[in-house]
Order: sequence, then C-alpha cells, then structure tokens
Amino acid sequence: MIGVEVDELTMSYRVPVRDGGLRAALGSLVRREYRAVQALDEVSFRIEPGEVVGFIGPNGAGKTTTMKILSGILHPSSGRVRVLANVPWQRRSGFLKRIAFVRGSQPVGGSQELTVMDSLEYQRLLYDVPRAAFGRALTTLEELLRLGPLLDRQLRALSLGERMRVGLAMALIYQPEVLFLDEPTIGLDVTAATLMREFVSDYVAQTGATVLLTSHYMADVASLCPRLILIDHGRVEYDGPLAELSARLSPYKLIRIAARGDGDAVVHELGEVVESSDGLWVLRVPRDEVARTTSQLLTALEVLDLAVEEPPLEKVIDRAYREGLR
Amino acid sequence: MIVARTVQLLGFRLRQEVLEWSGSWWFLLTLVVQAVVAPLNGLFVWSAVYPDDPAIGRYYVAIILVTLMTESFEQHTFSERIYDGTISHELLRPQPVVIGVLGTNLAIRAWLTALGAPVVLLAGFSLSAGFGWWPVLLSLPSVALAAVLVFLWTFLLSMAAFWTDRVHAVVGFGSQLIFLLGGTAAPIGLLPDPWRGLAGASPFWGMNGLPAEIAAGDPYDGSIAAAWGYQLFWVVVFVVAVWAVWRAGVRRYTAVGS
Amino acid sequence: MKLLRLLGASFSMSLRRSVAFRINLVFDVLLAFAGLGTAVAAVLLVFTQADTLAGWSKAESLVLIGTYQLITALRGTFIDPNLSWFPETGVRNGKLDGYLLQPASSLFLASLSLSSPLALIQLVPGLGVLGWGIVSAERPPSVAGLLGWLLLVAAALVVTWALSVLLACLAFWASKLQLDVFYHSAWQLGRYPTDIFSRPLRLLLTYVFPMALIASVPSATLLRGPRWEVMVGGVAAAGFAALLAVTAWSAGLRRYTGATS
Repeated sequence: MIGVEVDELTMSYRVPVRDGGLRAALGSLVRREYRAVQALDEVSFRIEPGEVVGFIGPNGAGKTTTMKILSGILHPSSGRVRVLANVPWQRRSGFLKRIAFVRGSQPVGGSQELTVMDSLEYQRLLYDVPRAAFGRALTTLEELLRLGPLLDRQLRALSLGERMRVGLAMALIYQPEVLFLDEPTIGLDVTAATLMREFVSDYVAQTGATVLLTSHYMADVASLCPRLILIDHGRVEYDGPLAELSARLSPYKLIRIAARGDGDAVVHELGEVVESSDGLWVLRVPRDEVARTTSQLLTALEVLDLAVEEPPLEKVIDRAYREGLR
Repeated sequence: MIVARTVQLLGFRLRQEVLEWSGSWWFLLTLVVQAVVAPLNGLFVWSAVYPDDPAIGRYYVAIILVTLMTESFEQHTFSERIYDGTISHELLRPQPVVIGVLGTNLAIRAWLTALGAPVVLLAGFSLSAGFGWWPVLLSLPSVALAAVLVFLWTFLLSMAAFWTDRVHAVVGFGSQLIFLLGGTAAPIGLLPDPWRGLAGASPFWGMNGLPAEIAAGDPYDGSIAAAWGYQLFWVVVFVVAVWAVWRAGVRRYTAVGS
Repeated sequence: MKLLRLLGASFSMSLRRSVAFRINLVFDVLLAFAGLGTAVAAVLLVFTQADTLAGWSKAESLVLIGTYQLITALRGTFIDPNLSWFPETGVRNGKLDGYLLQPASSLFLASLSLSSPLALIQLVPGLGVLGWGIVSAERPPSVAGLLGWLLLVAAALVVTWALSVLLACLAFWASKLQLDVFYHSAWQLGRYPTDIFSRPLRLLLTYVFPMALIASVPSATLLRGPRWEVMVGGVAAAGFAALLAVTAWSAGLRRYTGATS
C-alpha cells in the first residue's frame, strides 16, 4: 500500500475584495467582487510508507493548503488524493484515527484549563485507544518527549516548547501511521528544536511512520528528511534527494583553509575568495575543480587546516525561492 | 495650559476612535440592541401594569435615550488591556492613561447615540409620548452629569482588573445596581418604602432615572439646582475614589509586573 | 454512546480543574445570586403595584424566572463555552480545523465538547426560585403539569442548542458578523411572560426567535396544566430547530472545506 498519493491536485478559491469604510461595507452587502486565488496547480507526488519527506517552499507557496487537503480539512477543486488508500476529505473515522496533523503555530487545542494528563485521557476516549496500548504509548512518549514533569500542569501554563511537546504527545498517543507536521519547530529555542528533531527521528525509527514535514528551518529538513519536495506558486518545482538539490542549485563548494605565513597572493590566484581574515580564507570553487585546487593549495602553502564544505543550505534555498529552479 | 493640552489630546483621540469604530458599525448596532433591551423590558412590563398612563411611555423613552448616551464599556476597553499587558505601553506615554479610555468611551457613546436615535424616535412616535421642549433642554446638563457618573462608576469597577481576573463579574454586579436602583427596573417612585429613599440618595438614580424624569417632565418635582447638586456631589465622591484606586492599582501592577 | 462518554469525561475533568480556583468560585456564586436577585426583585416590584402581570400571578412569574434561570445555566455550562464568539474562537484560531481531524461528529465536537462547570452554580438559586414559585402557588402542580414542564424544558434546551448552532453557522458565510451580543440581548426578552409584549413582537418571539418556548411556555404548563397542542408544538419546534441546525452546519462545513466551489 502507498502512504500518500497525490495526482494533479488543484485548489483554487475565491476571496471577496472590498475597500475599508462604512460605504464599502454596505456596498459589499449588495454586490460582492471576488478575486480567484490559485493555491495549488496540478501538484503530483507519492510517498511510500515509512518515508520522511521535507516539504519546503516560500510563504504562501501552498504547503499548508496541501497538508490540510491531505488530512481532510479541505476539499480540493480537482485532482486525486489517497492517504492510506482513503479519500481524506470523506473524513471516515477509521481514517482519522490513523493520521495526525500537528501545527507548530497551534499545537494544542481543547480546553486550556485541563492538565496534560486530562487531555491525553480525553484523546484516549476520542480515539478509542485500548488501555494497554495507551499505557505503552504513554511510557514511550514520556521518555522521548520528557513529559513526566508536564503531566500535571494545565495547558494554559505551558511554554511554547512545552506546548509543542504536548501537542506531539497528544497526536502520537494513538500511534498514527501518517504524520503531517507543519512547522514543528517554529518559535522554539535551539535546545527545544533539537529535542523535537531527535524525537521525530526516533519515533519514525520505532514505528515506521510516514512523515511529511514543512519547515522554514533548513536544519530540520537537513537532519530529518532524505527527500525534499520544493513547492512554489502552487507547483512542485523539485522532488528528490537533498544533496542533489543542493548540487543543482549551487555548482560550487567552499574550501576553508588556515595557513602559516603570507598566503594571500596564492589564494587569490586559485579561486574566488569569499571571506578572509588573518591567516584564514574561504574559497568558492566549482565542484569539479575541488580536488585539483585542494592539492594546489597543499603544495603552495604551509596548510594548518583545510575543510571542504557544502555552501550553507539556507543560502541555496533562498536562491531557489528568489530565482526559481529553471 | 495643561487643560488645553488635555482637551487637544482628547479631541485627537476621540476623532481617531470614532473613525476606528466606523468599521464595526454592525457590532455597534448589536451594542445598541443590548443597551435598549433592559429599558424596553421595563417599558413593556410597566405598560402592562398601567396600560392607560402615557407618562410611563414617556419616561421609558427618555430612559432608553439616557442609557444609550451613557453606556460605558471600560471592562472591555480598559480591563482587557490590563489582562493582556498592553497597558504598559500606555503607562510609558507622556499623557494620562485615562485620556485613551475616555476617548474610546466617548466615541462608542457617540456611535450608539447616532445609531440608536432612530429606535428612540420610533418608540416615541408609536407611543405618542409628547415631550416638551423646555424639560428636554433643561435635562441636558443632567444627562451630561449622568454620563460622567456612569463612566466614573464603570471605570472604578473596571480597575478591579488590577486585583482579580473576574472583572466582568464585578462590573456586571455594578450594572445590576444601576438597573435596580437607577430607575430602569421601575421608576423609583414605584419602589416600596425603604428602597425608594435608598435609591433616591444613591448615585445610581443620578445615572439614569433622574435625567430621564427631568426630560419626561415628571415625576421629578424638586428644583433643578437640587438635582445638579446631588449629581455633582456623587461626581466628586467618585473622582476621589477613582483617583485613589488608580494609584493603588498602578502601584500593584508595577510591583507585580506582567 | 461514545459522545456521551466524551461529554462526561470533559465535564468531570473541567469540574476538577475549576474548583481549584476558589476565588473565582466565590465570585461566580455571588454573581449568580446577585443576578437572579435582580431579576426576582424586578418582578416582585411589579407585584407591589398590581396583582397580575399580563395575566400572570406572582407564583407563575417566579416559576418563569426559575425556569429561565435553569435553561440559562445549562446553556452557560454546556453550550456557550463552545459556541460563543464562534467566528473568532472557533474558526479564526483554528479550533474547527482541529475538530475536523478528530474521529467524532464535528457538530458534536464544536457545539458540546467543552464545558464550564462553574456556570452550573446558577442552577442552585434558579431551582430555589422555582421551588418558591411552586410553594406559593394556589394549587400545587399536577403530575401531568410536571411531566409537561419537563418535556418542554427538554424541548427548550434543544431549541437553545439549535439557535446557538445556527448563530455560529453564520461564521461560514459572514465571518465578520458576530451577533453574540445581539443574541444575549434578545435572550433577555425571555425573562418576562411573552404576554406583556405587543402583538408583532410576541409573534416574533413565538415563531421566529422562540424565546417564548424557553420560559413562558414551560412555566404556564407547570402551573396551569398541559395543553396537547402546546406540547406537540413544542416538540415539533425542537425537532425542526435541530434539523435546521444540522442542515445549516453541514452546508456551512461544505462551504468551509471548499467542497461547494
């Protein structure tokens, strides 16, 4: 069975346009003007069970819309979508029990007066989780998400990082097979974001869940997702491994070297210097010349340290967003 | 000098707020309905008890109008700013915080009066209430004092937000006092004995009932000067109370911090 | 069955959490008594001047206030926490999306899954006033009257739920139109016997926005005995209102999820 199957998914909707002010408000009661927005344009991809896929693209590219369709909240204008062989927007309860959609911007809903344990209990009833399975899942989650100290706290009293952990726990307590994560690390500090990434990768390793994840932080994507789907203006612009995208977008690598003595002249001769300070240089070199340049540097200079690096992912993706892939 | 600047700031704020609220005219309409319902209920009840007395209709039409012109929502406009912490910005600005509160208050009242006037006129015509020009003119200063009183009372109670998160309960209780003793539940002349005296001496009658009685021409039969004196007395009392509570509240707010 | 279990779980959890706030509890108790005291006082005032109010005796009026308070308390406990300010709290902040993801009826989740047990305190003084009215009546209510009252109160609750759902459904078509204040104001009209209103308003309150059904009709039934056409009408109104609410909700949801365009 295929985890997620999307064929020529298209979504467009109309939004009313009107000016501010009393007159415009009264006018719009009588006659409304609409503007069509094309959120998704023939998007197609498939995700095998157990795959972890990063879903990236600039703001407004259609990532969240796609996730809402895949999880059954929205009904597309056209196209064929199957998640675990179900049509998501029919929202059959058997299907809903097998998926989870967690949004970093609003990780936990429900009554904010309740404690974390109350909310988990409520999820158990709602998702008909057998007590034994609930107990097992809770033990695992307690450990992976360090939930222990949070269980007796009220939802309203949680910090952002804690809310996200609880949001994940509430979604995973019923052991969904497909997980949609929308910006799971948004607003988290470095420690919390790292914890989150470790958790997702552990969970996937343990359960074999299928994950589709959006993020604006390339660290999330780079550490979790062997495969990327880049979407822009509602169209899939790239679908493949991260390394390949990076190579395609940036035909250069960076050589970082430290050397004794005055090497400035030599270094400038061998490549484009992008950074330099007092015995340290960073060179930008075409990929196929990396080996040759490196050996030249090693012979010409008294090298203390040398490293070959991929250009920062952030910059690569930024270029893709601004200039496109073609 | 200070007065001129304050008036200028207030005027600026008022214009800004009036414009801002114009975007939510439908919401203002629902506020008009809210203001009108309680006196309207009173009108129906007492018209059922005294079906042939035109004075009842006239009195309640006046009550509706006074209510619209004196509505105060500081528990929403002011207390919420304490709860969400945005009051801190106001405390930092070189102008009294009350100017902002007052500007919003006056803007909402202006809108409510403008939107609610048709309702009042309709009610007036359908009841053929028969107001006289002279009593209506005479009531204007008293209406203004009533507006000041309601604002001070609501603002006073809204400052409870410095201490408790149930400010809506506190202000709700205050409104019930106005409803019962201020002449909306019944003209205070109809209250049984100890209560009539109590209501007449309380500030609440000066907030709704008294100006309405003056405008309707009866049953108030004291001198106008006495009426103003009574209202002014309570204005002074409330100003002192507001001042004291404000100081205590700000001290608490800045000590607790949020 | 599962829905009832969910409702029970959410209620008992909220209850345990909210009694932890003793001060709020005190405030809510005081306010409940003060609010009802005001309503009772306003009606007692009338009976210092007259023997009946539009044909209603003092005892009947007290029963009416008690019944009104009862339904208001239940509404405040089970319905308002879910549906009040729905365009803002339900739709704009994404709560509805969450409900759509859960394996239970979205209408149930959106309209009944949260509760605020403290509001149930209003029930206590309400029942007190109801008892006072019954005791001070000339004749005690008949068994038929009592059963009729129970049935009509149930119908009134269904109508209350349906009205709240219909109001919330506006969010799907006109999300800026928040009529909560209007609804709460109109609700106040149920405090008094509908017989005091002028004829057009009375018809409006009976057939369009059935505030008459909330308190006047059940109260009249309790002390004056049931009339079969009223009973049938009440039950039919409840059924119709519920049907309307369910229809509007699914139409609204189709629009929200984009299934129509």
